[in-house]
Amino acid sequence: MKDLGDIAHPPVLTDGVVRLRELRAADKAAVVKACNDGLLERFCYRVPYPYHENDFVEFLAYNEHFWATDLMANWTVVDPQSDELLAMISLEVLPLRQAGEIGYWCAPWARGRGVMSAAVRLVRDWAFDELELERLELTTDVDNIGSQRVAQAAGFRREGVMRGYLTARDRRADDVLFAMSLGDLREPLVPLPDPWLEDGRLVVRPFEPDDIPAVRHACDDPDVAHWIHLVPHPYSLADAEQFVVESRRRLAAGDRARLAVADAQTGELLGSISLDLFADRQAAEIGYWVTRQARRRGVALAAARLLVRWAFEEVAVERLEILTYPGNAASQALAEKLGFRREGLLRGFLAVEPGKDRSGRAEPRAGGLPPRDDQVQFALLKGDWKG
Amino acid sequence: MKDLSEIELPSLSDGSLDLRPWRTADAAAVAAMCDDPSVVRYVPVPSPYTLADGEEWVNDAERKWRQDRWAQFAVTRRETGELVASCGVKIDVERRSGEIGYLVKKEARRTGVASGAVRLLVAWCFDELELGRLQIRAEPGNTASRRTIEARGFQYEGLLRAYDLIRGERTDDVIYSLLPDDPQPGR
Repeated sequence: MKDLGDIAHPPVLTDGVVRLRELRAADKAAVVKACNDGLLERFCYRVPYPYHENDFVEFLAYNEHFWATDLMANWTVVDPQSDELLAMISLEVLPLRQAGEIGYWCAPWARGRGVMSAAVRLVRDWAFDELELERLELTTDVDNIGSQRVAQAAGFRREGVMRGYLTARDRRADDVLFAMSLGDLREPLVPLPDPWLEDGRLVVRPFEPDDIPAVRHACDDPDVAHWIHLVPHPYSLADAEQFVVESRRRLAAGDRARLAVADAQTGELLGSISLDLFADRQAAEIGYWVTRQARRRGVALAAARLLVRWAFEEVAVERLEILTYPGNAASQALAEKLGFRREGLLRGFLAVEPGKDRSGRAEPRAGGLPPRDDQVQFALLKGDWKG
Repeated sequence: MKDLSEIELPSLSDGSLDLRPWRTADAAAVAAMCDDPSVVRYVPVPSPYTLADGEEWVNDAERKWRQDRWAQFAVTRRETGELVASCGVKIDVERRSGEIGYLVKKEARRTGVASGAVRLLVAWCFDELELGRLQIRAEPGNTASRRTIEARGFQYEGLLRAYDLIRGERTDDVIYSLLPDDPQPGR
């Protein structure tokens, strides 16, 4: 690691897309506006909320000490042409470990166009190449999906979830730890390509918190509970919230893409389709449900076609599987229409959930054995798939 | 199903074969057993298989059980203590099921070792762990293994095409299952 005494101030960094410069008194209005945003309240624990002008004045007054005293470099991220404020970013050097921790927030008006990941890449390169740090870390709330995409776009590896990592704003939060070592490839490490699949009629896209009421309405349906594993009945708003939160977390983690199927014209939620990834064997399992109103209109088939194409062409899956109950004729017909082949009957494959009798053999078996459900296994290989 | 966190890996025996947890001292014998083309052909182990691979295998077994619910056993002959096979079961807690895997040292094949080890594992899985289903996958051309599996009462369920990925090659698997109320010959 370099002798930090040689560096009087963190330098201006730029890549033509963003410019990282020192904080100025003139930034006050933009910082106050940006920091009074709901996402910062929820996820940026170190920023006071609500954020007053005086918070800015105090921060600015201490600014020159951040680097000299605390080994914390702070930058304002601005547009290189207009000097419009876009974000803030910091690097805290941890000399004992020859490591650094990056923190940031992005103004609401600058989100969704790569500003934050560009800034992280500049700080990352400065930390590795100029300070000669050995490791960089970045932590973000498990539900802060946007921030996790930023970390991945800058090449950080997801190392794990730190449960109950800190108490912030009166709640105990789980944080994801992202890290990068000096020798790591500085390439984006996005585990799943952005799923936004369209065929003119349907859109298959990530679930959003706004979908919670529609998910509740759709899943509070005895037919959905009957055929879909682990769907309770009745289905509460809390169940729907859990479903959406879990879908977003797993999509960010990259082991499951459980997506919303919506009407391309009206935006109405028509169902859900999911891809569960088995990365060690480049395979994945498809599952789905369709709202009562949208059944018998080919929604599942059309959504599945989009998902199959995405899985084979963009996710690098070689084998797709569908497991279904022997009594679920609709799902078996759908699998065959998609070109899947029936490979076998997996006997007693699932433990029966209490209160769900799907196969007619849910009575306790001989010897008091708990009931099990059979599954029909279907599969489609990439080589057999006819685009 | 039992709460697995309260269950330690046991030692199981039928009087002539012992299944027991791996020990650090087994590393060299594991390496000798696994550094063999006829093992590598069917099992996803490193190739060539070094002493360091053997050390990692035996020293990681405890963690595999605690963390991944993957129970690994050394199979030894009671009379001589010689290591003759490796076997294990990977448990799917949500489904209350398990998948059995094994490999037998070249010199010990055709002596009933695999059959004996599977019999002991099956009894432990159904009687102690109270699992509801056991499955075994094998490559379609591995006739010796398929005969052993069938002889233990496992029933053929189907051919899973290009199911697995072993050292970069996709392989077909046949899948067999055994439920607790299926007939098991010789039990």
